[in-house]
Amino acid sequence: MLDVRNIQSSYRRVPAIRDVSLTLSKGEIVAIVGGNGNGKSTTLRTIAGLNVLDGGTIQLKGKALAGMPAHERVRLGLVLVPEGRRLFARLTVEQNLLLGAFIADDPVHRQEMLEFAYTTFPVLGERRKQQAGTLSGGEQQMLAMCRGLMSRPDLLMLDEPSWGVAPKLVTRIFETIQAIRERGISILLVEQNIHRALEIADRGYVIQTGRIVMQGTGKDLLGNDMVRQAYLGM
Amino acid sequence: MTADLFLQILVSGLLIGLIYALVAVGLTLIFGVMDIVNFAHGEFLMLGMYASFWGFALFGIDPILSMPVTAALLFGVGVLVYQVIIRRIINAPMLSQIFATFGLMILFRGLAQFFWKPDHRLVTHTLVGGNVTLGSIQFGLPQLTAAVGAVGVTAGLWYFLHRTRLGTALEATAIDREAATLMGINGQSMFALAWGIGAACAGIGGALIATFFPIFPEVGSNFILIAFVVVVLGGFGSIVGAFWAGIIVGVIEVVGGFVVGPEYKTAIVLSLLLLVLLVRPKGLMGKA
Repeated sequence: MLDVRNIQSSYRRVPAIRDVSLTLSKGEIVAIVGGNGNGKSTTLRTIAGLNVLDGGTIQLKGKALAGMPAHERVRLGLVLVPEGRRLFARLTVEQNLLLGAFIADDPVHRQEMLEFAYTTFPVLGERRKQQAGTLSGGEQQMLAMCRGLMSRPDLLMLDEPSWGVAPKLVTRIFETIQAIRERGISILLVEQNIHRALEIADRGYVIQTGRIVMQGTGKDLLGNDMVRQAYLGM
Repeated sequence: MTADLFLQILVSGLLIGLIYALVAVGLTLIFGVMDIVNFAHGEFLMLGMYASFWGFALFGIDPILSMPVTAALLFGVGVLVYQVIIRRIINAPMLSQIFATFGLMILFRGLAQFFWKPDHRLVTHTLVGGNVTLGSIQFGLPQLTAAVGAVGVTAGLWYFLHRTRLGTALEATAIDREAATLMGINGQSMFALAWGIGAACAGIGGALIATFFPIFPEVGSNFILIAFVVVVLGGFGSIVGAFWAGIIVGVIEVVGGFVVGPEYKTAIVLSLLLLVLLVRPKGLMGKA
């Protein structure tokens, strides 16, 4: 599905990722973990096309993405739910969802996906005419994930989905990520909540100062001494 | 002041105010979508007026009838200006952006002088000419038509931005360009669309104003200063804000001009602007 090789990218002219390679097969949940400022978000943003690729290659379903504008990558089935959610706060819940389906020209598709969102998260249906900015943190995250699903992507990239979400709801968010995978959508996940992320991930990568320093199954990484000491405080 | 006189002043103010709003909505749309102040907006209005004039002078077509063509022409001018100039300065420092649109203003005026001479031109007769008398108050039919046009343009823009898919995408781009990109929305196309629609609004304004106002290369300056006041007062980027602010400015201008003296009317309007900026810097319906 996704094949990233030796990519480099800068943030404000400072190299943010120096050498990142990762792969993701169809239906997998892959987590990228690491401390703040090590290039997790930049990796997702570079794959999405928001940051300029300075070196290396990115292939999605066998197609090279270099030089392709970010908005065209969405049509290839690649969607990023960005850090901080970036909802359109003054638009309604429903308008946000429909914008997620902007590339879907078929009104039946849009209606189906709206209904899917409202049955999965009834609270979004109850608040469909409310401004997105008035929702709670957890509700906003659910809206952001649903908005990302509206175009029926093949690969959903989630940047810190548990950020700003009440602890009670964090479990719900991770359950939802697993449910999305059940629908056949691959997930590339970046998380501060390393324990939770590696628990649900098939495989994980540890990133440090812009390089992948370790990789393995979620279970292996959770049991790894270095990961436990450095990131889980055990 | 008798009730009739009061009513007459109020109606005149309302009509002028709606014409200001008509010029201001396109300006505020462009700013709202991409945070660039278009100093050449008055020249878009001027081009709209000339298009109407030439349609009338060469082909005998009334400005009201040629309005769709004028709007389409100006839409093209707006998109062209975006593609040729604005696209290159989106991420440039603000001063470069100001100079670019300011330079454009001078260029358009110069071209109009060169090709069409500085003479004042008039559309000498129009379908909507003459006066309307309602009881004891009287006003021009062209002004009334322009005012109705202003209501129509504002309502149309509002509907487009809030009730259509493309309009919502434009609104989303205005709120957060990068997030809109992640929805698969092409930011460049949305910006071009905003310039096209903004200029088309000025084109419609030009067609309506051409029915009662002389047409000359600098005509834009007669409206644009007040249009800026209206945009700031209504809140940068707010279409509905510009609409109400236009009415407020028009009424205050006419009432103030009557009470204090017509030579002070602009001063009164600008004082109002200062007052509003002191109390509410983001304008009446600003989003910032």
